Amino acid sequence: MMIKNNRHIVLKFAKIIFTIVILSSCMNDDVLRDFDRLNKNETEPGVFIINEGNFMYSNASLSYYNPKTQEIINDVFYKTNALPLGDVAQSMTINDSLGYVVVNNSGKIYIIDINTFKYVGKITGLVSPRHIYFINKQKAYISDLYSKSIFVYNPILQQVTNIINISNGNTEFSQHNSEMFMQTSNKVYVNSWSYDNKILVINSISDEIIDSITVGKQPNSMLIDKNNNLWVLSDGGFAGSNYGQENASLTQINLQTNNIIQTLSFNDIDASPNNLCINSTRDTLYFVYGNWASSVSGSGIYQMSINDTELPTSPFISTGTKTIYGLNYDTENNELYFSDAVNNTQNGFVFRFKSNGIAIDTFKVGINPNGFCFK
Amino acid sequence: MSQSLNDTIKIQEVEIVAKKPLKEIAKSKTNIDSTLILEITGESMAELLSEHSSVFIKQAGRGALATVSFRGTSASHTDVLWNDISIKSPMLGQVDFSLLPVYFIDEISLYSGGSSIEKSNGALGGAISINNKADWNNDKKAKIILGFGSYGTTNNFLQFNLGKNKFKSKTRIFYNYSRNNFEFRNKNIADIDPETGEYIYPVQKNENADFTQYGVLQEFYYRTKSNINLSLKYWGQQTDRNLPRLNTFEGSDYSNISRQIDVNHRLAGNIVYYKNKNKFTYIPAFVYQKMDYNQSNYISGVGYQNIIFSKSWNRSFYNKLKFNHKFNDKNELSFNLDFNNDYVFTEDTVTKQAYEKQLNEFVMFLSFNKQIKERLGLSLMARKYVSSIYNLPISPFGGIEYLINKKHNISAKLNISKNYKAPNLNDLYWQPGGNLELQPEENLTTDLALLINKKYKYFNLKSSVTAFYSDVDNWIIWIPSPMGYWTPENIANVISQGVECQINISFKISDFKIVAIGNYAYTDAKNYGDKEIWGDQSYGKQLAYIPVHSGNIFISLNRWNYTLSYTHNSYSERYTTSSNDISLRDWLYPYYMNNVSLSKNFTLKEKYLFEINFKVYNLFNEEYRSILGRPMPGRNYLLSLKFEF
Repeated sequence: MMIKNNRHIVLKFAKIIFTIVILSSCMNDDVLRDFDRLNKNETEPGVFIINEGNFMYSNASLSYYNPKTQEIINDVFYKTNALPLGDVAQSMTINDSLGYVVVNNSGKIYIIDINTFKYVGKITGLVSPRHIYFINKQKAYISDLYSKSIFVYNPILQQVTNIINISNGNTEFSQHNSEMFMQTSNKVYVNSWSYDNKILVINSISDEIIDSITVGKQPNSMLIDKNNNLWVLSDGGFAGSNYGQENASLTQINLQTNNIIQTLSFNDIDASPNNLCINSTRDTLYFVYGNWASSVSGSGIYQMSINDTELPTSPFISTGTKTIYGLNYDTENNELYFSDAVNNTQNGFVFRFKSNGIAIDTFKVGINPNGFCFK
Repeated sequence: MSQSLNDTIKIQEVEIVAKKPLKEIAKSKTNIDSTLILEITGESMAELLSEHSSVFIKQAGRGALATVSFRGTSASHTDVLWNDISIKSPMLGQVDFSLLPVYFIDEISLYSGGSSIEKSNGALGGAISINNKADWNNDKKAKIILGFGSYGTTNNFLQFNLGKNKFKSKTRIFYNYSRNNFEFRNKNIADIDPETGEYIYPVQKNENADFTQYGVLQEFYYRTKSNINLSLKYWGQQTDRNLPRLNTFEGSDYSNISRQIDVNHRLAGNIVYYKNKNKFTYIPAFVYQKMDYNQSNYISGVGYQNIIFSKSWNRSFYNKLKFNHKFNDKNELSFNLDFNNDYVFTEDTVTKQAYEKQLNEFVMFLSFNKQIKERLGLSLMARKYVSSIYNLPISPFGGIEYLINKKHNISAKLNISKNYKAPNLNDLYWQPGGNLELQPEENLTTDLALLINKKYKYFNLKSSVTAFYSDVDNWIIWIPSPMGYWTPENIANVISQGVECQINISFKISDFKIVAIGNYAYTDAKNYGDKEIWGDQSYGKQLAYIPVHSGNIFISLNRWNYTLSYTHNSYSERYTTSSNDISLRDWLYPYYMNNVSLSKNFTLKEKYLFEINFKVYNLFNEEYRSILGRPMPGRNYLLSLKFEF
């Protein structure tokens, strides 16, 4: 009797174990790929929103917005390709029918079809890419934060064909790096943003540095106006930086001579303006001011004329306590797009305004939306 | 006959009640069974806790940084005490559990919620106490463990003991290495087949992930007839790790190379003097901890160039005076006085950002425990922390325990506490971003527990169910800024409530010995911070990386010196965003992990003990992810040989 009872208990026990093992035997990894893929062919004009994601989370994404229908599709890259974009999406550039999405901390650039969002290729083996700029059909420049060089890429051969060394030999601060590109005739201007204060000038035929212009510390964005003047927005560095902090400034440079026309300095040292952009007639500038530092008053989107000799004192669009993370001007429709990263650990929002400051639309995108690319 | 049987039972019950130390009255404290500690000696505390406790372990891959969260609180709300000395970094305020080898641990106790006030300052989530003990009754002289595992893993451990009745020396040395280059199919990247257009997911190796860990633990114990006990313990250890890149990385093979070196030297004395009903203890200790982290890229024409090279170290002196007075076996008073001095230094040699800081800490602790009636116990505690930076309010704790059913030894506990935590030094001084305006974090928490601890005829049952409610205010969170750096703010208010269950059954059926241990936790940890932020969807949402359900099961069957063990560990889905948005792209689906081991013991000449153990990890060879962008190993094996005499 006793033995039988014991056997019964052992059997029961074995049954429980067996059930647990069966229940616990499978994790759901395949559902991440086995789903109905997004199958689109969006031929109308549209806006890509680059969602940077969180550093070291590999959760960058791409959103797509149709301004006509006001339809937003989030996560188009993943939904179409079942692949994550990667870690820290930095920027996107369109060349013909292809979109080049630069994924900074994944050392690569994804190439997609801009209408179907299908992944068609990639540029790999990079170090810390930031932007890609197309000089012509055979040549593109890829900027890089850490490699002290600019990669020359041939889109036809789909190869990196040359490397422009921009190292100045400095071992501490003021080492050159590359960020955005602006071009006039055969001269390409590159801002050396991180711990530096230079605009490098490159001959786009010989791929050599031919000049450099000193501006305010940490030039983060720039553009060329209708008079062929370059405007450079510098954030001045940050408090406690051993590179030193100075007031942020906006510098106007004559591209005929590379001489500085004027430097406009911001009054508040805590201000960290960024995202300089320009309208379609290239006579009005926009930038983000006081996007984060809570001590800065009057945060918002600022507007100024290229003929101004003073900085604007009040915002064109006031943004209050929002965390404004990206701004760009749609030159086709004369509209402004800017984004709010909220608390940086959730999906952000995009605001769409007419150039006269009237709101059109607000929609939810991905994590840390940092830029817009117009199709 | 019946009368005498009743009497016998009564005596047993009194024994059980009396055995329990007074200071455990009404505390939420769990011990990890020492047989479980012995069972997984080759691994770190991260594995031990994930398999055998209800805390949540977040680990960035095999051998990588592992942090512990109690009841939904953060890693910096967990303290670790080694023989009463806090070993968390004063800068980061957290402990990497992958750096704590189970080899060096004899006892582990977890103090959840407010019960941590007994042990630690500001452990809002809980404190884990790891201890070494003399083990005077153990007359074994030496122990050797050799382990050989997949991915070039070798574990080597040597222990020898000297001395007998008055003096004892224990020396433990280990050296662990793993190439850790497991193969995995990388489904986060794909190449396009030029002919078919199909995706080819590359099979890759987990490169740059090797780790080497070695250390020594030396203990000296001395006891005299004149009621003085002395001990001295030294723990020295170094861990060299390469940190692998994310599996979305497709950059240059020579870029994004990260390496971390952790070094520690810890020396702790212990002088105990008993006189009448008094016990005096003095613990002096010295701790040195260093962490170097660097990340580099190969730049043509320049060579390897660091983009981050942070060096940080701290040295701390601890002085702990403990006084305990037992009025009788029902009343006990304790008073502790701590004086600590920390010096910390951290710098990044690339950005030249640095800070150094001296910190003096002064702590007073008072506790009173009373067995009011046979069935009713009371515990009161108060802790006061003053440092050269913060003067925190008193952290009070009060609890009662009531024996509901004598026959089955069922009791209930209720405790309530308020605890405060000073910000970590990095929160205050980190360059850039440190915020000197930070307020202390605070936690109001209450626990209600039901426990049973009973030896029945055929089996032993030990089980507890604890409901907790915890309100953490001024929670410090680092928020990224578009300037490229982060800054901490007291922004969150978190209400965490839930249930923790533990069951431990052991029974003997003919020749079979069966042990089954299970833990389960339900954790509802929600953010109730600033409601006013436009667009914020995180209000009222579960905290990122905190699973609602978590649990583990351990089952061991023993017969004829064979032991078959099975461990299962699971978590429900975790969110990676504060708004609980889920997309397939970053879905952390429920996690189920199964390990099995089989071992056999031999005893030769009643003196020499051999054990051979074969363990299978990830039994079902699952391809899975447990955090974003990190590959995990498939089925892998470890063969261990143990020799003891």
